[in-house]
Amino acid sequence: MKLADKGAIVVGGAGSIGQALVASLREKDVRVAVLDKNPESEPVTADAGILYVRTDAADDAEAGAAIATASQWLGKIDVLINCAGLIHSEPLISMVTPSRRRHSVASWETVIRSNLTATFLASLHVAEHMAANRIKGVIVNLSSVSAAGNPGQTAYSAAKAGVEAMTAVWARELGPLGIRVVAIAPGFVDTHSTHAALSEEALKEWKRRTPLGRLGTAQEIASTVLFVLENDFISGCTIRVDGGLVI
Amino acid sequence: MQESGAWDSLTHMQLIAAIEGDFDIELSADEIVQMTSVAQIKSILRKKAVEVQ
Ligand SMILES: NC(=O)c1ccc[n+]([C@@H]2O[C@H](COP(=O)([O-])OP(=O)(O)OC[C@H]3O[C@@H](n4cnc5c(N)ncnc54)[C@H](O)[C@@H]3O)[C@@H](O)[C@H]2O)c1
Repeated sequence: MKLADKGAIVVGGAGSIGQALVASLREKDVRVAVLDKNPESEPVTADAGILYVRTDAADDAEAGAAIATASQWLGKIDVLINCAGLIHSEPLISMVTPSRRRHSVASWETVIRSNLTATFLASLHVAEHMAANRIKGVIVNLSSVSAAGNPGQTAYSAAKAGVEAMTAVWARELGPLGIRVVAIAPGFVDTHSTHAALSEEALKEWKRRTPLGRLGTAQEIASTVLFVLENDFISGCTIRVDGGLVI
Repeated sequence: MQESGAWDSLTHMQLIAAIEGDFDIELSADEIVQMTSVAQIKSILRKKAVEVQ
């Protein structure tokens, strides 16, 4: 896909990776509608090529309305990037902290909503728009190496494994319409979210286990998204960007 | 075609992709939705100046 003058929606575009992604898309002259639920993280921008829509993408009615607003502003949606998420660590059962013996059901639901339901709903509305207008668009889903089953991350791993499964399903269902669907699975990236979810000690250990010996950068994830958008024969796969780390 | 048990949305889309590829045409979303029988497929293709028997 040639990117200049295309219209993209970035769900979760106010987050760490999202912001790097929006900047990279703007450099390629892509107009970007950012859908994010966090009013605090609304980027202060004078860039007329960015529209900010506050929405909870995990709510069907809100997601539908936000995507309609974005599509009206963009003219048409060529690209959807599902970058909303919530990194969360919690063991299934804890033998050491009696007060938090069992994985909370509330946190399970919150994590599934942010990572899995938001991706499902945004893709549902955008796929409908692309099919109805015969747009040969691209959907990129942010997964994680945790999809392989990272101990201590039941809900997050399950949600990301679900994201990868949906990617494979949609690539097959939407491929005949010329729509591509790809997942990107970052390893540990140097972002606020990573530092909030993991202790510095745990991060040191992950760096040690990463063959390249460091965390990734948000820019390295953004450049992978651009590569996926520009290469018209990639679909249905998950691309790992993880410094060689095996979970 | 809609009555056929094996017929489903995915197979329908694969047929549409094959028709578009073989005849080098692009169908609109409305035309795709209408293509639910062989007769309707033929009628739509004729409207697009594709020769069908
Ligand atoms: N940072 C990492 O190390 C890392 C590693 C692997 C995968 N990922 C994935 O990459 C994506 C982006 O991560 P990040 O580090 O930028 O996280 P982040 O927390 O900085 O950004 C996530 C954004 O998503 C938004 N969001 C969450 N739920 C939403 C909802 N229901 N509706 C609308 N917006 C919602 C948040 O407000 C936030 O702005 C996530 O899917 C994350 O799981 C990140």
